[in-house]
Amino acid sequence: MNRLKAIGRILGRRLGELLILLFAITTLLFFLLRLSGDPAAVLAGEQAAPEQVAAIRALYGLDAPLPVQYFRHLRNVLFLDFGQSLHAGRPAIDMVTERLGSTLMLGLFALTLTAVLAIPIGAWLGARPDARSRRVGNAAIFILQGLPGYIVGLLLIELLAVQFRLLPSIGNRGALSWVLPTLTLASFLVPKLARVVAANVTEAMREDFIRTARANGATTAEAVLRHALPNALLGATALISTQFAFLLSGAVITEWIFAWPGFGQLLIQSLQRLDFPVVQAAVFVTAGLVFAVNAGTDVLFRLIDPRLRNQRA
Amino acid sequence: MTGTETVLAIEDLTVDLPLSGGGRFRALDRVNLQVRRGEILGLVGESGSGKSMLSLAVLGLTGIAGERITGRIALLGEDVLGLSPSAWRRLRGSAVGMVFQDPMTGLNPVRSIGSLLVESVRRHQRLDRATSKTVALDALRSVGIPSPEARMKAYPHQLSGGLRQRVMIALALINRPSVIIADEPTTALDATIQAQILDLLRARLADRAGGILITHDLGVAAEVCQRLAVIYQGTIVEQGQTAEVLAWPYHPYTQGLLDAAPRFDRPRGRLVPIPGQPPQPGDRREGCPFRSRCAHADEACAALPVLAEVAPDHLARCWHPLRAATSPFEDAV
Ligand SMILES: Nc1ncnc2c1ncn2[C@@H]1O[C@H](COP(=O)(O)OP(=O)(O)O)[C@@H](O)[C@H]1O
Ligand SMILES: [Mg+2]
Repeated sequence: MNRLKAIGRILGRRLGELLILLFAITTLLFFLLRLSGDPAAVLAGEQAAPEQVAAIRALYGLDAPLPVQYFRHLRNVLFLDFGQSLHAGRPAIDMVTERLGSTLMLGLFALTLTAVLAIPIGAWLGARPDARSRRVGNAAIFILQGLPGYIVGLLLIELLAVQFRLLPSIGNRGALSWVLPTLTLASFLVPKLARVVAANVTEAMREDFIRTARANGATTAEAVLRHALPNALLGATALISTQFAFLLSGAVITEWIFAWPGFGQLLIQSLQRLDFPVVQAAVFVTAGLVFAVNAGTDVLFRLIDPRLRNQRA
Repeated sequence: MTGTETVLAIEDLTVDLPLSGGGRFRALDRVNLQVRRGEILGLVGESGSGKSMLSLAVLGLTGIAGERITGRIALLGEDVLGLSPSAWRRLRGSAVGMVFQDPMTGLNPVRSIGSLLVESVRRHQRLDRATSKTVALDALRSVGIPSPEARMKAYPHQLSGGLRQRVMIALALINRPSVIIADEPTTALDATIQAQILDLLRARLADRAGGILITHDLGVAAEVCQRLAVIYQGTIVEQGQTAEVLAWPYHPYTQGLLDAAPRFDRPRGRLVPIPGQPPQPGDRREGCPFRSRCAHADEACAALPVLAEVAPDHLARCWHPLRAATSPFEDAV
């Protein structure tokens, strides 16, 4: 089918881009991390004698010339082998993938909550571009958008966990502990998405096809929900895609606040411990993820926008 | 002509719009029009004369903040201006259908043709999905769209301009309204397609409905419309049987339109502007609106002439008509 072919083409092109990106990131990280410290020294500990450090260097192949190490590293990365964690002594990639699930889950909950809240709010605001309620809504969104997400997180902890002791605020201990991190992460995203949806709906409501719908007896609600919103959501899909990297960074902060045993927490801890293999694995996986999501939205676009379906990629 | 039942009667319709600098601008001034079943009334005039405003007023879709609409718009005898918004809304698409000028922007790009048609059917008729689909297919067939089954799944961008305009017409006709208003339905189309679309409109309208065809093309009006109303700056200046108005115009503005049209027996005839500029919104408007551009204007024209019967079933609004009135009764209408 035409549509499948178009999608295949996009995925093929995206995969090529992804390989180049991963190569660049691996190279950059390798040299940056080497510049920032000596892994053998980290491994050996602060009190280690020079001979001990030398022994470790030989053991891990860190005594070879840098280019040789680099190409060895590249070959290993090809098989997703980033080496052992300097801290935990386990394969770095395993530590990252173990944590990935709970972060992605958190992201998915937050995204779902965001869509559920932001799309109706945006549609409602966008459909009444002149009314006073719209101005109030816009002001609220403006303020919310200006608040850093971690402030919302800290406020939520203070209110719901400390003051009223309704919800756990630390770690992942059962279903309830998902609530606060999800709310915090969603509070990053709801204002952004609501604003875009509102702007897109307002714009769509001025289109000729809305007048056609009304001339056929559509109510205002029908004109908004069945005619303006589908057009508006196309723009919003693009936003979600471009905000995914932002969502991940939001997740890092959120996980830090809530001591959430996820991927972001692991990344920060590993950076602090100079645990190079884990940092490399984490960044590598992040890049792959962001890319996968962008490619996924690209495909999604083709599926929901009839104008793009048969277009050449 | 064909029928006697009046499906649309517009009486003293006046639309005042607020001007941004304060004050008001009269977009339509005491317009009187009747459309009978089976008849197509042509509404011609330069751009900006209020033709689209009139059609939107009939649909209740002007939607301009601060507008003031007075007079009477009777759809099948019912005064829509007195209806509640939801009662009026229910008449849109069922009692009155509208074909807009631009089929490129007038159809929702992310909705399939079939879904638009089915939505409209199900809104106005209590039908299940399968039956609605059959009705939609019939509608596509009736406007001459080839392989309608395939077109149901198509999206607007996949169709040519002519086909899209046919879809617009199918959408306007699908719930069998008694009144159709087509606002420059062929302006955006190629000449060959224009003729087809006009034929289609004429055939569909003659069936059972009455309609208003808005155009600035006298050739189109001559071809399709039994009666003609000439509008200038929101005011009807001449009205009558199309053939008669075009052969024996009484109003200097109508004559100006005729002089400006290359050859009105050709549908592509475009209007070359009449000398002078039409007044702008906000200009002082008293007396005959055309007098600033009229070769015959004098002091008498400082007062607005009445729309008088100058010949049987032929009205003109002029103190100095181009020929002597043939009617023995110069009644104001
Ligand atoms: N939304 C609007 N707000 C204010 N003035 C309008 C609006 N739409 C049309 N007008 C004015 O009403 C007059 C008639 O416009 P229109 O009905 O579109 O003319 P036509 O269709 O004959 O070209 C014009 O002077 C135009 O500027
Ligand atoms: Mg117009």
